[in-house]
Amino acid sequence: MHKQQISESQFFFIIFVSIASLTFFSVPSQLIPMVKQDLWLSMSLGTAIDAIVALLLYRLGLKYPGKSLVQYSRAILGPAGNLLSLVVLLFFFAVCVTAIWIYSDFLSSSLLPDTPLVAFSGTLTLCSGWAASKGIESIARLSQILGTIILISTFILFATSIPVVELRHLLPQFENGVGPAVIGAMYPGSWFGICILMGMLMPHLSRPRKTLKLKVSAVLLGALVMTGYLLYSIAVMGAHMASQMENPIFVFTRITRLLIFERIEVLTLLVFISGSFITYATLYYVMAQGFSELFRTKSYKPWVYALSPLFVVLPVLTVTQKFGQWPPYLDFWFPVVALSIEGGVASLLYVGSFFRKTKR
Amino acid sequence: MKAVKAGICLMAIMLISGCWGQINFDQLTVVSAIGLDPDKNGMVRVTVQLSNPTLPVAAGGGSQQRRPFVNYDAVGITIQEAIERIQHQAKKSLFFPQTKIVLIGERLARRGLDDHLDYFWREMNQNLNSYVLVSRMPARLALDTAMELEAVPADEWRKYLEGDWKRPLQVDIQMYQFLPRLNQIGHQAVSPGIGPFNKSGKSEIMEIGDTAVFKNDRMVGWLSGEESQIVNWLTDASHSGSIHTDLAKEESVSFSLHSIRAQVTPVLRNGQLSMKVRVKGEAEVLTATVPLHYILENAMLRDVLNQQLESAVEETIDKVFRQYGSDVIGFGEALHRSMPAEWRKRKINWEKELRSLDTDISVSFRIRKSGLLH
Repeated sequence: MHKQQISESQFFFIIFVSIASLTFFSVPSQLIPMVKQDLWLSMSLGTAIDAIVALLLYRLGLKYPGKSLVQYSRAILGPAGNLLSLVVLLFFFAVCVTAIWIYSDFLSSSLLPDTPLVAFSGTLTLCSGWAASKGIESIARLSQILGTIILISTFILFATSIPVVELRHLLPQFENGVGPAVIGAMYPGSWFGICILMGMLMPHLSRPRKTLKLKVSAVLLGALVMTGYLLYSIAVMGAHMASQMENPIFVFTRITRLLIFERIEVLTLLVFISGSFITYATLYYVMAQGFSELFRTKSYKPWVYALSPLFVVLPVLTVTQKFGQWPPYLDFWFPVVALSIEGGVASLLYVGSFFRKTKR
Repeated sequence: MKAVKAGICLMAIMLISGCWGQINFDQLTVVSAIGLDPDKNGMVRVTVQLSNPTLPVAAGGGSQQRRPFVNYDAVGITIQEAIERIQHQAKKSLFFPQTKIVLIGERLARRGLDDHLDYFWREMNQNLNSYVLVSRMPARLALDTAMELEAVPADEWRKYLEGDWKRPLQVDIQMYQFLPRLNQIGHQAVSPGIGPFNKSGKSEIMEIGDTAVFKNDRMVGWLSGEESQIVNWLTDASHSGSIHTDLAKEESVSFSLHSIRAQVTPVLRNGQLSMKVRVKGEAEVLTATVPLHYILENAMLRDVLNQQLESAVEETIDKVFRQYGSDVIGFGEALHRSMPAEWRKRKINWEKELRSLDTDISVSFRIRKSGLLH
């Protein structure tokens, strides 16, 4: 079967767009109330955690060329590797359900209050599922366009927002020591870590040797852009107000101007919703591909169709919403479990690979 | 597979009926201003000024005789309740994201705002960029009787407050800056005032001037234009100003002040907190009622100006800190930024600290040549 291939810049933009859109919807409400203006340290540590995981996956990818995470897990750990792959795929599934819930809940409360939640999860699943069924090449091409739009609009927004920025709002630094910022790193770290999907994308890369450099620079750029958004939010409205808002970046775009245009929050949402589409489509594809490799089915497409009803319905069930709104879930359990899986799986496989003779 | 694709395409027909909650343009009306007044039993009276745009002449609007705006008001326990009642009167969907002004009646401001303004924190459609003004007369009356050059008074007020050319004697504050300061101990809110200046028939020509000072969510008093400009300097909101110095009886010189840089620094000596204020800038003689010689009288003019400004700064700080007990200068936040541990200890009794605070003020302005020798 012809393996779909993606270029270096396409891989870079998939990772960058995923980091930006996941951070936009998920990180601000946890990070800003906890660490306020010290969040740059949390974001930097989160990036560092992700870089370490990326290094392990890169080494594994080079050791088992042309094989995905699911395939080399089996090669390294045997049947236990299958179990490990299942855990990773189920984790991706949980991330998707959580992220679609956050996305639907946010759009419903901020932009379209009369629209039923299922309309958000349904449209997103339909579009990203369709893209996933077309394969990673089409998703990757679109990510280049959307990634460029995110970068250009961010640059213009940052430049035109300078008049409303009050830098003194970013002081004092480390009022309560570095402790909260270090602990707070688990939020960006856990969401950035979702880029372990790199382990599934690496076999699609035309030049896998460049993966690490691309991955780290994409995460760095994504983290830099989103740290910029978060710090701008605090510098404009002050830490006191920013820490009370559900999504301070969204409020920041309600306050500032883009050149002569006011109330540009819809434009910003449009950009990040498009980014979310790329993220979910990639995760969706990776999951379908992973299940197909795990259960050795001929094609990944039946998995795309099989997963779709779950992504439409699960995020909007009352039980899911109650679970999502249960504070310890997003504040504690999600980051802890996510970091354990992201870091744990990569480390386990890396260590395991030393005891296993490489089969080429 | 083809049947599935055809089915999906057919489903798109469902979109023809439009989306949820669609509002046609003719059912929508833009809210230009919101007025807030107190009512009985802790209720609030809300007035909304709705713009009624006329069509351009080219589009057939030449012969239209429409009122440029209409005001509606209603009473409610919350602002939301009152607005729902107004919606029934106006029979249109109210569009808030372009609200220019939120006008708060002085009586309501003195009663306390926090219970009511929660609405602006939560309601996503509200415009956080709207300017806040405190009205000396009831907000409803001000919106009803105000007469400006622009057809909709709120448009004129916003443009004035937004413009850089407005007199430095005025403060300006937008909703996103105003809201957090209502419960922020170390930097409290100010708002420009508005009141009737001149009566013209049934209408009032309004003047924006003076500054309402808030202590937490309650208004506690007014500052004059001259005092407002000092607050503007000390909060870094303005770098220019004007002053009239009296040299002798009926002899005065008017200065225009530029490039003003004010520095407010907390100083801790032997456990005693004091405030060091340094104001620097340049002054230019605009007009004088006495003959002046720049070279000979430069030093004298500079000393008179600096002395007068120094006492003006001292009186303003004294008024806001000791008389009103309010930290509109943001000295608490300055302490928070430079000595966080000290701030944690002192913020509980911040009002008491303010009233007993020592100040060390120094003003130094340089007089610039105005192009004349005499």
